[in-house]
Amino acid sequence: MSRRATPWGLVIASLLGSYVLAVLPLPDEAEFLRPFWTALVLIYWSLETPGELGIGTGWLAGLGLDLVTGGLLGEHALRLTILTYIVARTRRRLRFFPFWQQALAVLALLINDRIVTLWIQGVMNYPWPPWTFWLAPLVGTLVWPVVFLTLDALRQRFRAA
Amino acid sequence: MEPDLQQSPLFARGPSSNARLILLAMASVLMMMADHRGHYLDRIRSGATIVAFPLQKIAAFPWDAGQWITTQFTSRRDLSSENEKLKQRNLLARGQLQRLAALRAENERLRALLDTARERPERLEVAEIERVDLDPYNHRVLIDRGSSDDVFEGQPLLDENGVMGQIVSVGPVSAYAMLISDPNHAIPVRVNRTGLRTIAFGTGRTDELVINDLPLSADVRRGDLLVTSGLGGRFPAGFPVARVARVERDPGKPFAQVIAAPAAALDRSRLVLLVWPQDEPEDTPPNQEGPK
Repeated sequence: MSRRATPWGLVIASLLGSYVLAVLPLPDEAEFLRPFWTALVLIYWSLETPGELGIGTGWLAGLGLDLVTGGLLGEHALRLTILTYIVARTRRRLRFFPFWQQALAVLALLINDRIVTLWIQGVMNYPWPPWTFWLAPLVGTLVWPVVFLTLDALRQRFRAA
Repeated sequence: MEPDLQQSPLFARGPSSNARLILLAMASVLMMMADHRGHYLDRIRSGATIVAFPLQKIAAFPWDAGQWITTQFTSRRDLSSENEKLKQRNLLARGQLQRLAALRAENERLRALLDTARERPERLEVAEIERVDLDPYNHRVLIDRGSSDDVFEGQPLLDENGVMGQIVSVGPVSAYAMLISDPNHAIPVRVNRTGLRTIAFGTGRTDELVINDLPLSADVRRGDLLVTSGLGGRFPAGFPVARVARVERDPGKPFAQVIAAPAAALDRSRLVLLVWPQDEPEDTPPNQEGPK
């Protein structure tokens, strides 16, 4: 566990990248399958930079996502605050999980996020989402290794440079 | 959760992270309420488009590039056949316009006789919907025109078939529009056949609007065209909004429920029209479109 400085440049760049993926055009049927990229990026960084990237960062990242997606201001902020909070509280165990177990934890985090979303939408009187709504956490778990390895490789290169 | 959390010096910030969670969660909820109920935060959103728009542009890039490539490689034959088709459509449209011109003149004379306000021609301009997927729960779209093109908040948005929605927040070179199918949207309409006035609400589905306030005996039936009534002063009168798809009259309920299908292709249109209404809503008497 190296306590070196958080590569903030890379953190911000990867968050901006996740924003682009969040609004990347998809066919309407696939809309609800879109993985929650920003959450995956935040999970990675809060696992890898212990103690420095906290729920404040999660909140700010969510606010940025709200502004880019043009959605309800504060919705993603709340969702990502809760998510980074849970990661922060369980980080010590999560970090030393084997990879597949970590992926399961990501799945649990993403499903929990879906439930939070459902609450928010219930309060806002939005219609009940289609069943495909629940597939997004699965897709998110499937792409988690890709996110993890990509960010890991980028970080190595960043450190070497 | 974990009893050893508080004792471990590594996690000395444990309790304060709880406090921060509560603080930030409350801040988020307050923001959501302010945004949902009062639209107080549209200014923040407008300001943030300066940063958001480049990211959205990057996301739209693959599609834009694909579009450019297809345009570059369209064969001459395709182009000329498309040109031919467009010429025919233009001819047809012009033919219909000729009749409209006569009708407009007649309408003007009748209005003059009735001494009601005259309609002035609107200014129209074409805008393009950016190919980005915004929040799937709000029915909003991003267009490539902003305050530098005189776009203003509340401005109506049309496509070739009918009303699409209205502008809700404006940045310098881009603007967000809310579609009429958004669950938070309501549009004053009139049944074209009878002149019956009512309000059509969005349902969150792009193929349905709903009207909840018509009495069971109201004269409305399947196939009726709903047009903007001009009340409320936001949408100019007379633009097609939707066509009635079905009317549910449940004797146990006080009101009939009317489901209508929007006339505009809300989920498909790429090119849209921005309208600058010219007639002042204040000097049009409220009974302007009263019983005939």
